[in-house]
Amino acid sequence: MELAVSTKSPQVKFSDLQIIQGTKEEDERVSQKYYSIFYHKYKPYIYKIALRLCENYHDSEEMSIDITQQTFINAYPKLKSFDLSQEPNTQKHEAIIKAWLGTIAKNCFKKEYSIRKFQLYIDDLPSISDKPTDFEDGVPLEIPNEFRTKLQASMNELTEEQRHILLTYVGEGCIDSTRHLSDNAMRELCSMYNTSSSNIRQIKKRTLDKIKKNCL
Amino acid sequence: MKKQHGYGTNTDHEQNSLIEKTLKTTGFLFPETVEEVEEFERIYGKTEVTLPDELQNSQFLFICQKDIDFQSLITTNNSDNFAMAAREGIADLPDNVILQIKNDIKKQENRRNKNNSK
Repeated sequence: MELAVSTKSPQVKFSDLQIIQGTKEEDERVSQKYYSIFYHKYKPYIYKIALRLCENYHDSEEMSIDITQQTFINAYPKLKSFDLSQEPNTQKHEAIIKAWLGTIAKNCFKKEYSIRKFQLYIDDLPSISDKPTDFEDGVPLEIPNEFRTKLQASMNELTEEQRHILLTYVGEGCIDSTRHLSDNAMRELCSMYNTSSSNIRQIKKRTLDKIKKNCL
Repeated sequence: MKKQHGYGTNTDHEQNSLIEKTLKTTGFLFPETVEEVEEFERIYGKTEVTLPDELQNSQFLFICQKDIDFQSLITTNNSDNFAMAAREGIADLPDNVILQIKNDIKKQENRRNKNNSK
């Protein structure tokens, strides 16, 4: 693929498919230029969510920057196996990329949170798959604005511990009591809060009950 | 008789799904499906953020093995990884060590940028 643009020419537009294909070029310089375009296009999205996610932590801005940078560092080698060409609807490409980046960013957040809270060495943490759970649309679920507002207020009332435990369960797809948290995730929570797994489950249950009582 | 809850949710599972979806489209968690991304964008897509200086440049992405500037890192306190690189040759380093080196470099750069901007 011929590279006719530098990253300093933002007026030239590439489609997401072209950008992704460009990052797979064998010529490293070409690949890196396309990845720069990719980075500049998607960094505001990741940073925006990271800021919201970290707003209750004491060094929220620095944490958000780290999550954003780490997300794109981790995404670069994984792009080689990322295939956008199977989705014929090009208007969906951006959302697919954002969903994919979201799975990587989620794991970066978990690692950054653990590192900051307990200064754990990065290798002590379990590795987590970045494979998205679902690229396809599920059954659309209407979320009433009133509920959204109540939930936000309710989340802001939780302690950092309650919020983190609940979000770990939700992030792992285990909000239902029938689904158990992975051993690695549970071990991590137990070590973070110096408590037993049954206590972690209790905190999650009480937190969820509190939210339901406030919002539903 | 089944208890009726708010917003058309009747069962625990329905309530949990509603909470999960809302958290993933409200910025408490990263959206991970197309549907969640679209819902998030519908609500917050137009919200502008000011990007910090640390994110303006993409150079940190491409600090690959051969580009590691050991001179600039001598003063860091993360010397174990670099010592391993020096002993065993950088091409043979395990991925986790390379990742840690990249993290250390990135943090060092962030620190330097912050100091410069003060």
